[in-house]
Amino acid sequence: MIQRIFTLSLITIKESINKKVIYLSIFFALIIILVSRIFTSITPGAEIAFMTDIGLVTISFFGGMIALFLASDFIPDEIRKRTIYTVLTYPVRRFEFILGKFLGISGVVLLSHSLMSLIFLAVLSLSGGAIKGDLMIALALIYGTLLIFSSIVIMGSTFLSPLINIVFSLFFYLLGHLVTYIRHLGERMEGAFIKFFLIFFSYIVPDLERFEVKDKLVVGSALPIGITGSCFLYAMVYIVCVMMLTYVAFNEREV
Amino acid sequence: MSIIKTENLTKVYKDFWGRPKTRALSELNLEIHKGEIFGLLGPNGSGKTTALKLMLGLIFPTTGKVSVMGKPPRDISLKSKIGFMPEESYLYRFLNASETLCFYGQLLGLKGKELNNRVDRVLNIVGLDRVRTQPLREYSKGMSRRMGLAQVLLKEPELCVLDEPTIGLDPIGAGEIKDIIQQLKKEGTTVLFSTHLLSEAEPLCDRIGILYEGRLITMGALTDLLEVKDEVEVKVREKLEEFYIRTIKNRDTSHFSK
Repeated sequence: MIQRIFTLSLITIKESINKKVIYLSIFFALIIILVSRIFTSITPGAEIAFMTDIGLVTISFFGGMIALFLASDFIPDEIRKRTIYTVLTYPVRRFEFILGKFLGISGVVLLSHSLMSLIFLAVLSLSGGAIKGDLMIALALIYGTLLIFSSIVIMGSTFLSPLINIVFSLFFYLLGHLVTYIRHLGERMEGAFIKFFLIFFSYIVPDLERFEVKDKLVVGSALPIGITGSCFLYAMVYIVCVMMLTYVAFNEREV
Repeated sequence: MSIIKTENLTKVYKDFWGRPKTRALSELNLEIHKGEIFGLLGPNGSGKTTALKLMLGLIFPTTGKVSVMGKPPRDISLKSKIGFMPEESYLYRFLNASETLCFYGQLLGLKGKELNNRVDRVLNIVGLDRVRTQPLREYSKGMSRRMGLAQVLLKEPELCVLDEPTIGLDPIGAGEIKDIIQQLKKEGTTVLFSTHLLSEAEPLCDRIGILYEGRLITMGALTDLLEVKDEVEVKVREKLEEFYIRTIKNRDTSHFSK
């Protein structure tokens, strides 16, 4: 089973290498990170904070773009090109297929995220910024959000068309940054149904706010102890749940 | 012994709202025996590919039942015993022949020397060993079909399901595929293939079934079906093509008379 999942993730990585979206995203991220160094003059005295802010947002945005465009198309592409016919007539369980795809996409996202992070850290270092442990944690947490995002996109790709899936996934991603607001809104509501719905919904969407440490980092506040562990534990549990739902949807799908 | 058995197998494709759209297959009752070559014949759109996909567990029956080697078609233990060559060779075009077969071999659980030996052997059989490092996107249609067959042979299957195996091939390529099918039969492999090319079914098949508008309109041993008695009780051997056209036309006439 492990060999099959590994083989499927490897083929996903190999296939991704041919996708232009990765190179375009990394190229634009590089441009923005480099350009941010020029515009530090608009924030005198806070040049490094400005670059850190722009750098983290850029990595998060383009990492998200890579995850979105890769994950939204992989399973539909296998069905469209009918390569899935042959794969599923081999001793491959459908959950192995999904897991292989997810791990492959996670690998590609990790590679591109690492590359963008290295560029960012190099530019920051050359500009006199210190590479602190908290910065590395922030980068790791961005990868955590990208993993959650990828799993949601993969789930959508098993029953939605690519375009609708992109809209659906972005909607979930945005709501994931508004979890506290949705929960507070639900608590203030008077109607029992809407109250229940909003609070329940706030637990369904991924709590991406807990991964958001950029603001603390920029103003120089210390990050809470154990944040990396708790966030990755949350990410793992959330991803397992999403993958289980993906399996349920994909298992009943005709190809 | 039946390798494949279908009982009243019916498939109705539905639209987005779950309403019946197309009745692709109606109450198919079929048994395919161990070691035979069975040809599923029929014009385009007659339900051949649907029947094969149901037997492979790629789609699910609306009603009825299908069993392969006594098990439901999605049973994972069957998958390494069944080789499937789709209508077109749907393979990863960015890989070359060796990489493709290694990929499928790894899905079978093969590794190391065993995998390499089997890949070499299969590439030799299909005659692609000299172009093994060329990406599949540069292959001609004939080479792609042979590659599709190579991934079937890699499994050393007990049952081969071939969907229009010689379509689009030149006579030499088609002849080579037919030779491989006959060799499979000699080795005891059961072969089920669909085709609308009658010339390829006639020399190969032990039995045929003719599908028309989703219904199996006739089935039997080729020798029995092609023997018709004339008025003076002299057996005249009919060509498959004549038999096929007559059978379909009779069906059409009875259909219109209703």
